[in-house]
Amino acid sequence: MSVTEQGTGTLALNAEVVVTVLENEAVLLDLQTKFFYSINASGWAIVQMLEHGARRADIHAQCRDWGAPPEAAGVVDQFLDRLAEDGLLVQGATPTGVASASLPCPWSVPVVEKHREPLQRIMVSAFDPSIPLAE
Amino acid sequence: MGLQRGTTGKARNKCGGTETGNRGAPALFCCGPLEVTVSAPCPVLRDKVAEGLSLYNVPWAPPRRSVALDVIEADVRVPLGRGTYLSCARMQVDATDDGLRATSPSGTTCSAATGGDRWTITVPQAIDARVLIDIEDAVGLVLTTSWRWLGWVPLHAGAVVGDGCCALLTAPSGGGKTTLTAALIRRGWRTLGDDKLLLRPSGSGRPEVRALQHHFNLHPHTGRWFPEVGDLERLPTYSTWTEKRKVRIEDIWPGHAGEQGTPTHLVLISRRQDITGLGLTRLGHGDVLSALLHQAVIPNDRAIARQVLSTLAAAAQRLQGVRVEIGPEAYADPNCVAPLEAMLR
Repeated sequence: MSVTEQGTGTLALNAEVVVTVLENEAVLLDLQTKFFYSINASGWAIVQMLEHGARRADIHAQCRDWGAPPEAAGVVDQFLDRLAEDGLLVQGATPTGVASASLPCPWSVPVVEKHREPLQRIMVSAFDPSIPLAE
Repeated sequence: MGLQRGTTGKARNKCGGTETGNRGAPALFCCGPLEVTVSAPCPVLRDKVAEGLSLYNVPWAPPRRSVALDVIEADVRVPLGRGTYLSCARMQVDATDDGLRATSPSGTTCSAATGGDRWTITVPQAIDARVLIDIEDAVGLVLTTSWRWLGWVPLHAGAVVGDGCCALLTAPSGGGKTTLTAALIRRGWRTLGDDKLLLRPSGSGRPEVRALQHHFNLHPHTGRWFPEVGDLERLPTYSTWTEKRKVRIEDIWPGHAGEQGTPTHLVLISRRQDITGLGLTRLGHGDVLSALLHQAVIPNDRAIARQVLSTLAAAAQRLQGVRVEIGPEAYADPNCVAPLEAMLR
């Protein structure tokens, strides 16, 4: 059973993930895997709810408030599954606060794009992130 | 003890003071927005640290943040860390209860309190070549960490400016940043450096990039295409790891060293053995973001990582990207970069 199939459980953003918000998107970086992701505005609105922990049912309800049609529940679940597959979500965490998510533009299908090349785990030096050459 | 500005032996940089010749005194080095005061009783260690700090020879106007760097000898063995904050080829950096501690296989350590202004490098009493290399790494950690604490993001990239354009030149080490920079200088561009820059959001929200070093590391074969660099073979190598020679930009291209810019473009450089001249393609936003993130070290500290990510992602949004593929003898033609210039201007 996937993380998002457990309707009563709380989902939360993995503590290893940092996020920055841009005009119409956000960028997520997983400090553990070094992979980074771009998400669109609707995706970022959902991720805001996950920063403090949220139940799937609450996420669906909030998306409907943002203008998502009832049939969008499937794409929201797919979005959450995609984040969970890559370890960006953890399940069962106690909510640490009340999510104050907002969507500043019309609802659209939430999209996450995983960038192909992760950042280096081991690098040449504190200034040079290149792959170290063998000595 | 008097303060000796910017000199220990042969090393100096641009803190504006005069040399006193007093080798036992602390020495002051200006490294971008930092004023680093080095205290090192051992002349060998003092010269090694000075050598590293004096590379940052671009004058920055005050205010500068003061940082103290003490270099001491002690035979206290610290186990190699796990690199929870940062993992480098020869150095592991870990978060401690009150700050950071770096450890290296030679026994060299480097530590500071978080956000603090005092660093300590401790080296074994038996100083060998490994220790000296590890001091280079430790000095790099002191600077890059202190710069981040001031809100700057160290960027492993070159930059050229001209006609309202500022292009960041990105590639891995040895990937061709210096040679492309030289080719653009030859066409009238100015450069902020070929390898190390600082980036931050300016007051207007646009990114601001500043120069740190006004010298190039040139491979002797560069002279084949750029006769103005002269015979580089006569210069000493500056590291056992590379054939490159260190030369001052102003010595070769007077008037072509710049100090700051507002980045407008990102150029992603790669070498291609199977093409002639330069191949150019536009980069999408995702590729620009990826290229920029791959030119910066992002430590495993949430607050710092968020700051770096935020700065780079915001900058990437404002940059137009160009992929440049460079054939083996492309620079034999001085006009080879003209199509690239047309895309930048």
